[in-house]
Amino acid sequence: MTGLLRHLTAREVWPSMVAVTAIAVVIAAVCVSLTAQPSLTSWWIPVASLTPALINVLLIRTLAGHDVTLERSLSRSRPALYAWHASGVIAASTVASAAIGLAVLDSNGTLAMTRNGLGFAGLALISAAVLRTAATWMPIVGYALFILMAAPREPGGTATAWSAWPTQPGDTPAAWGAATALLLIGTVSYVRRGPTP
Amino acid sequence: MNTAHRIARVSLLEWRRGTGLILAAVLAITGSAMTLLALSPYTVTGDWSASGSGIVMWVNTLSILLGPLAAAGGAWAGGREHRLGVVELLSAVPRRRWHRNTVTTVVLAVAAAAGMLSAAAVTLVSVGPGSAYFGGRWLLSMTVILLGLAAYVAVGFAAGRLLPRKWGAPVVGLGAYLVTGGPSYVDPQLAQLVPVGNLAITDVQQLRLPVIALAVLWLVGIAGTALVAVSARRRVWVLLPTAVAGAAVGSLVMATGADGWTETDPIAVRQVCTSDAPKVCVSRVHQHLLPQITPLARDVLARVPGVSGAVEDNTRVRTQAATTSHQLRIPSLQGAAAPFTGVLHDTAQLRWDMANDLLTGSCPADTGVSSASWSIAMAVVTGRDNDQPTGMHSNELITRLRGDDEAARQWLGRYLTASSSCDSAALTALVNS
Repeated sequence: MTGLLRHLTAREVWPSMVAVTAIAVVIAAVCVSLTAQPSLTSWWIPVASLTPALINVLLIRTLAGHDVTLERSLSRSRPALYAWHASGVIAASTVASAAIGLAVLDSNGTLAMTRNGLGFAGLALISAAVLRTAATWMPIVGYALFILMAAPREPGGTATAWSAWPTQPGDTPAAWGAATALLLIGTVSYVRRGPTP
Repeated sequence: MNTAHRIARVSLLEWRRGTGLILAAVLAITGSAMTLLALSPYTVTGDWSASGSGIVMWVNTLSILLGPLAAAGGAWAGGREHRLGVVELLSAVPRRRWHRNTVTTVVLAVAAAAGMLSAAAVTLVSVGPGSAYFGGRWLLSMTVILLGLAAYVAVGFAAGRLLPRKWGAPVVGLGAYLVTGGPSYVDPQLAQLVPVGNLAITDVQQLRLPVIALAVLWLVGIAGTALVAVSARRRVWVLLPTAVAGAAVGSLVMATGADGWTETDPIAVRQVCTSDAPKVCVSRVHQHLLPQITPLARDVLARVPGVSGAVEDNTRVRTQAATTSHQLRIPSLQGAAAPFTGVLHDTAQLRWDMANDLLTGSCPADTGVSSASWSIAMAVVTGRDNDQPTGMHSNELITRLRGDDEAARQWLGRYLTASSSCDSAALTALVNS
């Protein structure tokens, strides 16, 4: 048990959890104040796109330790360790996103938040497996901001739902497909390769 | 080696080996991709048009995303010394801290500007050939936007120095995005104080000169405050740029309370008309579209009696029924042309809009007879069948009027008189004629 706790401390899990919780509380508070203004609509789209992205930016450091090269010299099976790290990030991202959704959004928004929590966790895993640790946030922030600005205003079309999955309503099958695909690719690539030094 | 050489060498090094080139490339690619996506499905340019102000208007929109990315780039460069573990090493070099920080920030600001200008060039290409109007202080507005971008870089750089290094750049990027996009929902007037993305420029609205001067001071003040805060040996110097920024923002808020930041560009709205009758006029800013809109407007003018000419209305708000002014109202042509060719798109819809504006009466109550007579009038003028009312007699009437131009003119003349005076009995007689 002590070993596990020390491992979590070494992976900077505690400050990440504190930061995620703090951000979740702040975003929930902002959403409550937005709900009070009936003239504003569709604000759930930036909330549902940016919140899981931010959560994963805060969590992504736990995917790589202080010294990836040193970790590679471990005598135990590394894929199992990576699988634990990956599932931790996926679980934390999804639970935190879904919790904010449940607290302040309707059921469709909550579904979208959950999907985006999964999808951005997948993007974070891909990013961690491919890029060096300090740069892993770039695809997440870049994609989240870009697609929020550039996604067509009128929803519709399978191509749009695939490419702009974070901005789609929670009941869009193609968007779920895109998020699930990212999650699968991310999990497989991270568990096989581990973080890049 | 003299000072200029040294600065040039360090700047080039920062550009190539630092964040400069990457930031410029990211901004150029992102901005160009947004521009090309905004054009989809490539029927109209929509968000901008063939004018200096029109392009600046779109660059202003682009900066809602490019500004935060530039801030993230600044934060990334600002956190560099911590990340590479050379803070102590650099504190031992004789070169002053503000020298190093200024070079980095200026190079990044230039890189961000280069990226944004590349996207602006794509926008310029998309408006296609044609004599565009380059007025409306578009260069000054562009400068304000580029200075806002530089302010974001400087603030990001300072934040990257001060924030915990793990999350500096992404948190700065997302935070800057919220600061840029959020305030316009709360107060569009005050939101213009945000360094980028909130200027209310259009084809015919330009920034007022005093506003430009104050905005420049405000943005330089922000950038200076951020830079001095992390560079100066004595922190008290930060008060100087803060005072400049404070004075500028105070004047901006007080001086622009009621009449706003923008004014109408008198040259852009000047009427440019055809030399022969019936006169068709558009604003100077859309002069290149005059040859295309003229046949459309004249076609409507030829069918309806008592209307002497056509004038473009740039207000985008329907002020009053055009029937009282005896002029055909051309809707604003901002962004109505197709990309890369400059050809007016959806001329049928433009014709419908003009006819609708002319034929819609000012009667408050939308009675059955007024809507039926409007439908017949629209079907006759536009030649389209989707406004037709159901009913055998109406269809016969439309077919008869379409076949006889003179009868149609007389019918439409009586219709305009009856609908402007809300004469239900006359309208009923017209529908049943």
